[in-house]
Amino acid sequence: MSQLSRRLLTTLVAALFVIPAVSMAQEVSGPEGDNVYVRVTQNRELSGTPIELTEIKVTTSFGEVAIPIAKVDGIKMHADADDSAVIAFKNGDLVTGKVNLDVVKLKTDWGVAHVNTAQIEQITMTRGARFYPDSSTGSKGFRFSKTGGNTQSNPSQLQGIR
Amino acid sequence: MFNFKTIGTLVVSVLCLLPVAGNAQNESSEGTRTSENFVFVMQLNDDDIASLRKTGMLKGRVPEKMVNRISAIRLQRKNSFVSDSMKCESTSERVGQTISVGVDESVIQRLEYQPVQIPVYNSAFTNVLLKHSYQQDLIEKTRAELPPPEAGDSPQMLVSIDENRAVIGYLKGLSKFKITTEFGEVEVPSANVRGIKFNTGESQDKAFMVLSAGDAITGVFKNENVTVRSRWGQKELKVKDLNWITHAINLKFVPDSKNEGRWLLEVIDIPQTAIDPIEPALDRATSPELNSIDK
Repeated sequence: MSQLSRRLLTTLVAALFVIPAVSMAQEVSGPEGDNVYVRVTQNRELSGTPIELTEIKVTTSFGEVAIPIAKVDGIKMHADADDSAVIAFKNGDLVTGKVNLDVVKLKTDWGVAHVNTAQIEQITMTRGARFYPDSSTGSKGFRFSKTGGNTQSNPSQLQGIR
Repeated sequence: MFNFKTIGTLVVSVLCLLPVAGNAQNESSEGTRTSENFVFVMQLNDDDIASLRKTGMLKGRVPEKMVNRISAIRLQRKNSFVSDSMKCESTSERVGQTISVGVDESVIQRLEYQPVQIPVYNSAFTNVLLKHSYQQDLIEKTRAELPPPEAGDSPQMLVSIDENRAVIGYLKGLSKFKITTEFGEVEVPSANVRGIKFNTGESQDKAFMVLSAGDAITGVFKNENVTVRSRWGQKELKVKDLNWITHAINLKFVPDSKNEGRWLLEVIDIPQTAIDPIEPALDRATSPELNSIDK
């Protein structure tokens, strides 16, 4: 498959998850955060800066909390049968709960992507960071690792769909 | 003639001088009158306790300078949860140079929580013999489960104040733990908590909480004090003095080797003797030590 065909296919697959992106680009405004990496189904990844997303509301076992995005290192969506998410904090904390968010708006180098959270597998602040299952403490859960992260790469290479 | 088993590990020391009017009268009739009386301290370790339960007796020798000046005997363990003594009346009898003091199972078990001080009204003895009144049904009764928690209490927790001292009980009025986190103040139901590590090293006032879902939350504990309701009564503790709280005896916090400054709550193997230190007793009717007592 030629490089051109591969790029076309990539764009088509991404279009399945990105709802009227470019057309909305001029309408969306608001505070922007740092660059994030959004892995969607079929192992595709978007990168960009979240728009209008300074905190996310999460319903946990101890009530609803508003979590500042700036404090977060990663979010694993659909982590269990109840469709809970696991939020990893920069300080190492982990919180499980249901994310009350339907769409994540991302400003990419090709426009604004509206990504349905149902399609998101994980969001991380570091490229290559990952969640992995862990039961060493006697209960099933996840741990978060920044291993493989590459925040020093040229931003132009990280923007948009890979 | 007494032929006691040697208790090499028994530590006997003088802790304090206590003038007691009643004892002074006793002493005046038995021997040297003095205005100062001693508390004779017997510090018992695990082997001593096991021996006391098996053989029904344990002996300590009274230092010469304390003879005729002992007003009470204090039994204590090195790592009792609290240092305040509980006063406890007990039967005592002097036989020759030895005073025998009855110690029942409830006293033995209480030693894990606090020292027990037993007044003595005899003098002119040079040995103290603890006699364990062994009754299996009493042991089982004494070891009965904690009474049900009161409304608003936490579930049953193991409260540790250091590596060697802990007590099982309820945290009074703490059905929820209030903790200030990176994302605000939250109230975590204590029933959802597997453990809380205090004095995390990161900061004196920061606690590290592990929930049953595997969540891990760092924050500042709202309460400055907690009250533990154990089978021995209530004890208020400062949060800053706590080591950790866990919902089971077989959980322990260890530093996370992969993440400096973080902690892991690990499941550990507990020796059966730590869970139930009462070992099968010898048949005391045939115990050579017991039969050797010469009354």
